[in-house]
Parts: sequence; C-alpha cells; structure tokens
Amino acid sequence: MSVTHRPHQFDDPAIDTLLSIVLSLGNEVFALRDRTRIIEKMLEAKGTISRADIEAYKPTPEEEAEIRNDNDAFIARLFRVFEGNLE
Amino acid sequence: MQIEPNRTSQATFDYVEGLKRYIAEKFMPRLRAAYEIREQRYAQARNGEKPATMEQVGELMRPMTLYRYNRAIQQASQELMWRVIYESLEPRRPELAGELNRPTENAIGSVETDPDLEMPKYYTAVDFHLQPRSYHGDDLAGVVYDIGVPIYVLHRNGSDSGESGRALASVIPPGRYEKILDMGCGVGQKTIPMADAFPGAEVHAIDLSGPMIKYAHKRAERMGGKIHFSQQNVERTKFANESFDLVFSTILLHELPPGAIRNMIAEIYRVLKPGGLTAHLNLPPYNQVSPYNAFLMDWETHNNGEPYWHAFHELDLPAIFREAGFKNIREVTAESKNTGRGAYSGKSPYLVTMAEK
Repeated sequence: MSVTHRPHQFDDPAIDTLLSIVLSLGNEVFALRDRTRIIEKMLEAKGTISRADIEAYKPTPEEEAEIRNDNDAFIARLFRVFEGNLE
Repeated sequence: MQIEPNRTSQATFDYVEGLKRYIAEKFMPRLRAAYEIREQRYAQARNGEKPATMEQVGELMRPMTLYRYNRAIQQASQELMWRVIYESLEPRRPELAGELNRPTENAIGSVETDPDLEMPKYYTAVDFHLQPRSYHGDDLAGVVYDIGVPIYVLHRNGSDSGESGRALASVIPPGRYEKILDMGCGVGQKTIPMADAFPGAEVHAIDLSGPMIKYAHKRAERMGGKIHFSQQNVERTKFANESFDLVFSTILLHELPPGAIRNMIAEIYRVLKPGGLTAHLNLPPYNQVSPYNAFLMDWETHNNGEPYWHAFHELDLPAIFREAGFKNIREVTAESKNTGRGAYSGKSPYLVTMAEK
C-alpha cells in the first residue's frame, strides 16, 4: 500500500488539491517577498548586486527574527478567513 | 558532508516553518475553541456528559470545516517541504551520492551495508511521514531526512536534533554500559547524544535503510561520534547472544507493526547480557492522554505515512516485555528540552519503557 494515493482531508479531494495549489502559490509569493527584501537591503548597502549575492545571503540573527515576524504576519493574512465565524 | 541551502530553498523552509507555527500557535487554539462549542452542545443533550473517547471526539470534529483545513494545511505543508528539499538537492545528486559511497578518511567509527538484506513488506509498503520514496528508496533519503526533521519539529530537538536522545540518557540509571546498541537508528540523531552520555562505551547502531546509515556514518564522523553503523533488521540481527549491556530505541516502535515489535523485543532479550538493560523512548499510549489529544494524534495513522501508529498507541508494551522474559519493567516520563522556534503540536513529554534481562 505504498502511499500512491494521497491522503485527503476533505470529502472531495479536489479541495485538498486546490489547497496545495494555494500553498504553493503562497510559497512563491513568500520567496519573492524574501528576495525583494534582500535586494532592497543590498541596494541600500552596496548600490549594486548580483544573483550569486542573493543566493549566498545570510541574514543576521536580528534580521532572522524580523523575517520570522514578517512571515507569521503574512501567513496570518493568508488564512484570515479562519478567524471568522467559520466552524 | 554539510548542506547549506541557497536563499531560495531557505525561503521555502522558512515558509513551511511559518505554516507549522501558524497551525500550532494560532489555528490549534482556534480549533479548540470551536470544538468546545460543539462539545457543550453535545453535553447539553446528554445530561452534561462530555465525549469520553477519541471516537466520540472524532464524531464532533470530523464534520468541522476548520478541522479539515487545519489538517489539510498540515499535510500540504509537509508535502511541500519534502518536495523542495529534494528539488534543492537534485543538481548536486551525483556529487552527494558519490560522497556517501566513498570511504571516510581516518574514520573513528565504521559503516557496513548489506545490499542483500531483505526489506520487510511492512517497511517497503509505506512512505514514512510522506517522505517521497521513503527511507530505503533513494540514495539521498538520509540527507533529506536530516534536513527535513528540524523543520518538521520546528527545531525543538536542538541544532543537532539530539534533545530526545539526551532526554533518554537522563533517565537511564547509572551503571557500567560497555557495549550499547541503538535499534532503528535512522541517521543517528539520537545515537550520538546517547554515545556522549556513556563515554568509553562501544556503540553500535542498526537500521534497515542503506541510505540512512551511509549518511548516519558521514554525519557521526563530522560530529566526532565514534559509532559502528550496520544495515540490519531489528527483528533478527547478526549480533552474538548476550553481547550488549544496553539496547535502546527512540521514537521507533510506532513505525513497526505489533508482530515486528514482538520479534524485536525477543531479539533484544537474546543479544542482552544477563542483567542488561533495555530502554525505549516513545510518545505515551492513548490511555495516558486526553480523548481530544488522542484523536488529534491518531490523525497520523491514515494521513502521515504512519499506518502502525494507531496499533502502537493502543499496545500494552510492558506486557510484551513481560512475555519475552524481562523483569523490573517500568515506565518513566522523560522531558525533552524544547529548543524550538515556537510551539509544536506534538509536545507531550516522552514515555520511556525500561526492562532488565
């Protein structure tokens, strides 16, 4: 019974599939936000940057905390619908 | 062999961690509050009687849209995590696979694979934790697992993934343990802290997966752990009778069906010296947690590549040790230091089952 068929959480597995797509899209947006932040920071600091600079970028611990908070806020906005009257 | 993710991969790992943190810190309390409204209605209709079993909790919970979304985000975020780890390693596959197969220079430990070892059906039937191609079906399974687990548990097990190994070591009674065996060691995340706790001991560690122990060996050598890894089945090992003072496992038993657990415990009895100790760290059985938590835990069984999880958490483990001939069987709680970045849903203390030959 190798997990060939995906477990699904909704009666209609299409909803699970749709959620996967939404989360992947969220991931792309998230990565873009991350990249934009790095580009802005580097442009401010150096005036010029390369792709390699971005991939090798290592945030400071303070910056990591800042990124974490920003991430949490982003995800909370993405799922704001769950804070309503939904059961 | 150390893997530094590039910024694009790191952004995805951060995102997956954010999703998991969201589920644990924000969504779980919200789900609980919505559940309690249903629980109240249930009790009002039954003279104040609340759901007493995980099945009853399930009847209230399963129809809830919030519950479905909560679990669907958990599942999809996990699938995303494995996919992105593999994608990020794919360009380096030949180099990484080559290094895993190359002997380590000046090794202090050792590794012995067995390409002819028969893989049990219960093992090849599952993609454990939804990891694609599971532990045995990809050369990079060990590398992928070692990157995934800290993300999976939100770093609660420390930068070396060793906290649960240290939790186990902290409850082992002092004694002379000259020869130690870790059963089902995976990539050796718990083997090294246990070896550190008993300096001077000769430490062996076995696992069914070749890719896992090859990586475990490279990882241990990098971290300075002197461990002898070999690819073996815990149900019937190649070790001689009465050769170990201590045989342990960590969070392994729920990956085995009950029959394999019985065989493993009988095998431990065989390889232990008289007076030797065996110790197994696991999550507590369902009868030691609330019906609500048991219901949530049980989700793993059908949705996270954990088909033996339910049976294990309803098993009378001390009885199996008794039947195998062990004495002084006892269960103690082991608290693992949480080094995590945020709460984690599965944070109940561990239960260690110990027995002597």
